Amino acid sequence: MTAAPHTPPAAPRSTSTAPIVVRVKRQDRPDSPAYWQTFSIPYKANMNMTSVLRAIAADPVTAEKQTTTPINYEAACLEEVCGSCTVVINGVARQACSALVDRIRAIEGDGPITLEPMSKFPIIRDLIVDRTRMFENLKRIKGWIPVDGYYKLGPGPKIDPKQQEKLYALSRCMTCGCCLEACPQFTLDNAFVGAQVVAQVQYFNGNPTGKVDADERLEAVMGEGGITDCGNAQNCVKVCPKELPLADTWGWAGRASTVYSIKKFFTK
Amino acid sequence: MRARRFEIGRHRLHAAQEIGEDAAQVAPQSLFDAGVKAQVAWEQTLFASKGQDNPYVLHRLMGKSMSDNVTIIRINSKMRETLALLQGLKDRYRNNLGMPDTGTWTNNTLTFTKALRDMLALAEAITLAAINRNESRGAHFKVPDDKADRHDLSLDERKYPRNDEEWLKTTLVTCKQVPPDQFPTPELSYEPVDVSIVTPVARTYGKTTA
Repeated sequence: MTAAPHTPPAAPRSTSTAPIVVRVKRQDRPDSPAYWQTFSIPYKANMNMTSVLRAIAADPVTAEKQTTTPINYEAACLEEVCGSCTVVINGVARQACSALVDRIRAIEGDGPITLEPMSKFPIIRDLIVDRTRMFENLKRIKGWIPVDGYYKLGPGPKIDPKQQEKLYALSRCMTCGCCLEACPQFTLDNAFVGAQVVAQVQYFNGNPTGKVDADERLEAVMGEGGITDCGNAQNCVKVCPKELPLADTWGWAGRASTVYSIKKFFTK
Repeated sequence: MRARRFEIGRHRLHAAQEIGEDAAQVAPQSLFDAGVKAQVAWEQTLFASKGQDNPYVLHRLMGKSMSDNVTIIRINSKMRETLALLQGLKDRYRNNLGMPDTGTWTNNTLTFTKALRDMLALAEAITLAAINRNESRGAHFKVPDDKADRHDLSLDERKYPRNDEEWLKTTLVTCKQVPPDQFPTPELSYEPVDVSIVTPVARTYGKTTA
């Protein structure tokens, strides 16, 4: 079988069987100080960072032979579609489930792999953060298609395949937070909306039925902390695990909000 | 197409369906209070346990045995081994559990340990039901003990055939409700499959000759 033309070459894999050493940044409570612990677990082939955390839970003893508590973390789908296991691994925000030890080692060697919770969201415990802000933003922009009605609405409008393909790319967002973690403008205590929700404005405004709320969605991401606060660092484009076309999103957002402002100036 | 319904302990779905959708609204407050009380008491029991067995280790042993013996290819002697292992794990859970985390703030280990009790009960229900069903149906390929190692035979010769006469029925596993710190005892019963509208036919996946 020949590989599909778009299949990227297989990433290199380490063949080292040295124990897996992990440094984890932990925090017992939202208001308590953070501390680091190092763990060393026997090597097993094909481990991802989630299975490393589970292995530590089954034997919660640090490299210094000190008994501790299992590391608290989130994980659900284990196939990089839910976003809940997002942590900072060796300095880069990504999903623990798709972070394979053999591949990390092929690039970065057998040294300790560091795990930290995302720093742009309030910490709950250890690697678990509170990502409510992203979901609140989705509510603010009405991240849905309004099809409720008390009578039968009939079939929706057709979407041409080119537009569908564009929208599909945007629909892959799993609200993981990588783009916000990498963003120099987005901080714990400011109001910046960030790439995540702006991409969803583009997504729902691009849908022929979703269009009816287009103005309200744009309004929600304009003003203080809105899209003009983007510093164009483009870190979001680089880190997005689902490869959303975020550079295009920011370009679109600038144009759409300008057009909307002019229209509003003359009509409202 | 075999629907199985597990009714275990505090899963009250079936009862709620019988009463109607508003079962939660019409249920007396004392029911909820008693439930909360039982769960809190159970947490205290778990936190106080000073045994040696880590719940994640028990889970791994259960998962390994279930994956090895109670998936597609099913052999009774193997599944009895799993059943015996599950009994052992249940004993260890009840008598030798050690909680590696007794914190009361976002304690993943506690949630996991509570879920493990249900997982062990479900694993037992699945294994018991599988041991009793001596036929192959759907994805399940049951091999009689004496043919377990007869790799010289073809697959069709090795397996129990599908047996509509005896086994066109749904396995029900029923458990009497027990306090959360105990394991329920599964009891098997069977319910006929409704074939009044569609008559069952042989599943040949397009194969026309034997």
